[in-house]
Amino acid sequence: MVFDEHELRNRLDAAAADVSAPHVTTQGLIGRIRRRRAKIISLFSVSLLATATIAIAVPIGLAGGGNRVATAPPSQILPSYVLTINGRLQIRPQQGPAPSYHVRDGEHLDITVEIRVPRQLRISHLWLGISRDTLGVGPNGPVGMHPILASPHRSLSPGSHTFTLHWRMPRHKSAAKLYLVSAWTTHKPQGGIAETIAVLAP
Amino acid sequence: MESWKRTLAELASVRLVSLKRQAFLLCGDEGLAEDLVQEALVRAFSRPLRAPRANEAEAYVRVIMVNLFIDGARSRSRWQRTAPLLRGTEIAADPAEQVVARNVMLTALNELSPRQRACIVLRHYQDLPVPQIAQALGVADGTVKRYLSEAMTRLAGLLSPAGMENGGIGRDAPDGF
Repeated sequence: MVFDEHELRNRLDAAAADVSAPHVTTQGLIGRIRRRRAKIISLFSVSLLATATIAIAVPIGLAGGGNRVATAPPSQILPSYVLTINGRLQIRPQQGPAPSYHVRDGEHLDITVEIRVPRQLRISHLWLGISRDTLGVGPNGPVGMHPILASPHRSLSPGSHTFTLHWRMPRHKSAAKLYLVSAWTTHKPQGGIAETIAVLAP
Repeated sequence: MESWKRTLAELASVRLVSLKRQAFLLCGDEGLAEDLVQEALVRAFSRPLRAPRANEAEAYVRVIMVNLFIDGARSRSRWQRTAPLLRGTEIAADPAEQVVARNVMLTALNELSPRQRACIVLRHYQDLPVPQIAQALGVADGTVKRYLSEAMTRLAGLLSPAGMENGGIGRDAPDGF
């Protein structure tokens, strides 16, 4: 069915023609707009403040700037190790037992140690070596580590660092087991950790 | 006087009746039309950094009015579907009033969906081109054309002598959104 648009326009004009003048005043509108603007600005300020608070607080928390993280002992944050000894790869996780390698007396060991330093940790000194029994670390370095196979003269930033070591198992060893060990220190907080990263057993 | 106040004062003094007429065609009630105009003006000038310029203020307010009407109609639609069941014989009007063109036109407009109605008012009362209507409603040009086509078909059936004789107005429920 065809409907004349011109006729529709006339009918719309006629329907709207008798509308009375609005009762609103310009001053009344300005008052309402001012109140609405004040409300919008208030809401905007609150949301801006909240956003700024989150933007500042979250990075501080993540970066360890809070008291809880800063005072945590170094033993809470440990590196992990990926070891390859004569082609056999094993992982020394942050928590858990050190992996064990079956080695023979007099065997030459090509050792690769990849140390993975977590983001919250900065190692100031690192020593890698062999230990027979007791092990520790003090202000002057590791205790009970003989020989020291590697000792980089630099700090280790968060990330992965790889060291290649070579060592021959003694033919007549005084202990049943030997240990591939790591000792490291941190400045903040000041302290150190000595740990076994692999067991070398016949 | 700040520029937004000057723009508002000019708009209110010269174009307020025109705005209310459009609002009236949209909602069909003078009280609601006045509320619609006021709310659209307040919203248009409430954003401190985005107050409309003098040359575009009226068009901006009209777009806000249309969208307020559509949003409001959406929230009222549930009430509108149930209200006729409660009105009973009140619907029966004096035959003499039905010949008043205004009432007939408004009743026919009431039969359209809010978007169809907005398209009809913007196209045939405000003389806006289809792309501008599409931009105001946030839909594609083709959608506006479809709304217009459906609305015109419906109005043709409702406003034609045959349609009125058959009691066409009020037979069908408005389309949804």
